[in-house]
Amino acid sequence: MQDTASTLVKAGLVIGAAILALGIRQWWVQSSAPPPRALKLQQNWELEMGSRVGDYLIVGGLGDISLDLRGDAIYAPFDGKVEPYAHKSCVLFSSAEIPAYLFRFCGLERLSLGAIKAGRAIGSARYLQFATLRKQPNGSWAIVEPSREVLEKVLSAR
Amino acid sequence: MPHEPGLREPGLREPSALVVGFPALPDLQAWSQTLRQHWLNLPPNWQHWLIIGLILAGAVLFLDPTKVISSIVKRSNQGCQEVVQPRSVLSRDQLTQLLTVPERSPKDRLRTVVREPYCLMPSIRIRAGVDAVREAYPLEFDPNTWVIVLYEGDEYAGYRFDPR
Repeated sequence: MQDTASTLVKAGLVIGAAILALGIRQWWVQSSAPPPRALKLQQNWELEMGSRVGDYLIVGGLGDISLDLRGDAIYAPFDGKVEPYAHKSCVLFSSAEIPAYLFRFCGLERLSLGAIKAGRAIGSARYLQFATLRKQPNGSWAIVEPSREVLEKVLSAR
Repeated sequence: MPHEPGLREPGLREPSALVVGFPALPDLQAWSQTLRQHWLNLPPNWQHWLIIGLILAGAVLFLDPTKVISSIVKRSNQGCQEVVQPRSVLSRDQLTQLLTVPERSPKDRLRTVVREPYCLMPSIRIRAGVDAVREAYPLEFDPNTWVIVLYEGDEYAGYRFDPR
């Protein structure tokens, strides 16, 4: 009986310490988030992501694919990096495995910023706005038509 | 397997036996009392070891074990699908010239600079209707860093450094 109880004490304390460590780590990751990355887009529209109409903010524009995610998570399609974007709730995903391309995800909650492994959750969304950006010779980024293949990777955990 | 009616009977009775044998829910308050008592009864050096163990467990969690393990077992030609030229490397000169080629130039223009790649990565479709080909080169002066070049059709799309 004494043995069982001391094992239980140990197990309980280990679990407690683990939860505390994870909490501190989460706080550390959040507080050391990189600054938002600004992009020069090739397309320049009058009404685009982040501009306002009256009191309302535009959260998706020409070139974004909107998905009814019902609060589900999206996942890193490759090993890469998640950076905050100029607009809140948006992030940019880049990866050494796909030169010349960036993905922009908007509408996200519970973000995971920084380096990320393929298949790990980036965040979750009620409605996701997804754009594929391709690098141009002058350093700007053009919104291009995304492929089904990448979107399917984004929606499936590994 | 032939149907044996005799074997079905005990199987059917099993669930009800489980329900009857299930213990009552534990009294949590009594449990925590007992645990406290046992903790106080532990010899002092036992308590020290437990605390040290907990601190170590916390430290391991903080370091993210998956990252530590993956950095140990990292493969050097990770991501390659087909090795093209195992002796291929990119010299400083070639890298400098690669940087001068603008994105969206013809593929041939880049190929005259970088020659044959070390390997091909799996083909992928990032943009609708366009298949991208990715070629990888280790740097001659820094073999742990690779350069990945992406082509779409006859067009060079861009490069990225990949530290491995």
